[in-house]
Amino acid sequence: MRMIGKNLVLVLLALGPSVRAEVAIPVVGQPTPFYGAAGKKLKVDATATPTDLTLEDSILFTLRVEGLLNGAEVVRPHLLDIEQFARDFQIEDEPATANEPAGTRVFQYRLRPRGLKVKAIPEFVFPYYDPDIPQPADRPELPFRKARTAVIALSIRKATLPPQSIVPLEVPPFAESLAPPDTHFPSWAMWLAFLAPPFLAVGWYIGWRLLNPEGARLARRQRSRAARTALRSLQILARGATVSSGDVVHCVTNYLTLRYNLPGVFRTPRELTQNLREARAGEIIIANSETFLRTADAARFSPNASPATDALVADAERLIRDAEGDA
Amino acid sequence: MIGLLFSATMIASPPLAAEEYRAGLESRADAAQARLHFLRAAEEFERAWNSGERNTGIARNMAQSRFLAGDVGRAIRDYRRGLRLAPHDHELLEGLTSVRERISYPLASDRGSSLSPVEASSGLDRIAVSWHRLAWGAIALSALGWFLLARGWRSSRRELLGLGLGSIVVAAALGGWLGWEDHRLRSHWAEPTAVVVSATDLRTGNSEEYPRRIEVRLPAGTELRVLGERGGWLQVELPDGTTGWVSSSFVVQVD
Repeated sequence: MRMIGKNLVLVLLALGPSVRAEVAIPVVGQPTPFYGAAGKKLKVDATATPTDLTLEDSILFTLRVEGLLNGAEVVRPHLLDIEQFARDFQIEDEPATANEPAGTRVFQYRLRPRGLKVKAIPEFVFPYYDPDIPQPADRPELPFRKARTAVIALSIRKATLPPQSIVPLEVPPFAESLAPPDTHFPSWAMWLAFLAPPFLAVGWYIGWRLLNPEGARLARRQRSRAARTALRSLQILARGATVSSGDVVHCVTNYLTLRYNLPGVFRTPRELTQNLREARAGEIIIANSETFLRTADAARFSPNASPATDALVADAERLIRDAEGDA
Repeated sequence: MIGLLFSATMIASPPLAAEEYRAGLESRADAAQARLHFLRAAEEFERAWNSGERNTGIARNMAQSRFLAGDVGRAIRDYRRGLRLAPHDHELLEGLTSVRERISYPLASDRGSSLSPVEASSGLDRIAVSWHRLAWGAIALSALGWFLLARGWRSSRRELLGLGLGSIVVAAALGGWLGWEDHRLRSHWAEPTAVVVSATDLRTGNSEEYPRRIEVRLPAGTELRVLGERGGWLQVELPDGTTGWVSSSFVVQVD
């Protein structure tokens, strides 16, 4: 063993082929590319399967390197960096082989020929360092040797399509017809429709007020008209010679119906009370109305029934005036 | 009969496209021949779409034509184009689901589940009424509420005021929920998406020299969320969150 040059670091411990040795590979003189391999009688084999194929097929290309002193340190050769490989093939790395014997590395690739012009897999040059060869200062590349694989001939042909048999096309139900014209409303139209009613309602109210400025007062007057009519009727009844208490009751119930917009069907004080409550009349009016009806019923249906008196008419008038005051 | 059926849909379709589609259906006995017609129909629809005629009818017809022509990836892209315009369109959703069901996601290494697209679930799925019907219902309820409110206001009838106010509150709540659902679905469909049109690898970098991120290839029809673009490569995310790069030659983006 001999040390050469001050820039070289060379330590070789080669104790025998069966013993794992640590190999320090000199940096100076390394070829490019270099995969970090060291060995004495290094052997590189390349196999390809299949070699007779169509353009659609791919080839499993296997590189087997034997006789390595530092198998674990050898890096996978990158075939894409080699011009001939990159030009002729699409290349994908295959996963590493699980169990490699000591001193042996196996690298596998998937090659797809780029065209019919590809006739062979080119030779692969595998550089390695031979520790048995001295490294003189003037020729530092000397211990770096090259192992080469054989060129593998390929027979590539066009993919032969199987004879085309006529098969029907399955058309699923959803594709049986074309879509009708687009009927979707744009989202802005829906938002407009959502916001339109409040504006329309406010607009309508404002319009109503503008067109009918006395509207609210008219409604109130309408109610007053019912009271005036009822009072007038009572006065007519009071002036009459024979007035039944039933007429007085009819006059009052007619007024209440118009005043509170009641359904108009009530025969008993209880029904009247209930209807007035539903119409949200004041409690005083409800109580007065019930009392009036009970008094009138007593006058009408008691065994000692007497014709309507001025008192009943007066009660009716008071009831109506109270109701108007309550409003 | 088919002629009558198609005359009704001509308005939504460029005439030549509808003609080709009809020819495709009529020649369905020979799949290869039919696919050629559907491919031409798809190209006509695509031309109409690119010229600015963008509506759900064109999107659906374009997707159907692509699907029948055997191009699952572009069919999915076209359905997604339509759903960007109308995220509640049932026909588009049903078509998209049918096409997705025909994709063979790889099952090895449990990759099948991670490549399947994430469904855009909605609270509306539990209701048998469509979004549009509910929206029109809310609008009608609101209109009724405001009408009752105005009537009650004018006639001083408290029961009408109460009924109107109640209708408006219910309509506003329903409208708010529908608006929120609409916004959520629109955001879902608006996400930048690419669809694989030809099986390809997901790689760790933007070049073929980078190793594969996952062992299996992405089948045509796989939907990917686009994160970025560089040098003819798209950085994408799978439904399970795995990120990687695909060559833009093998995908189409939803525009």
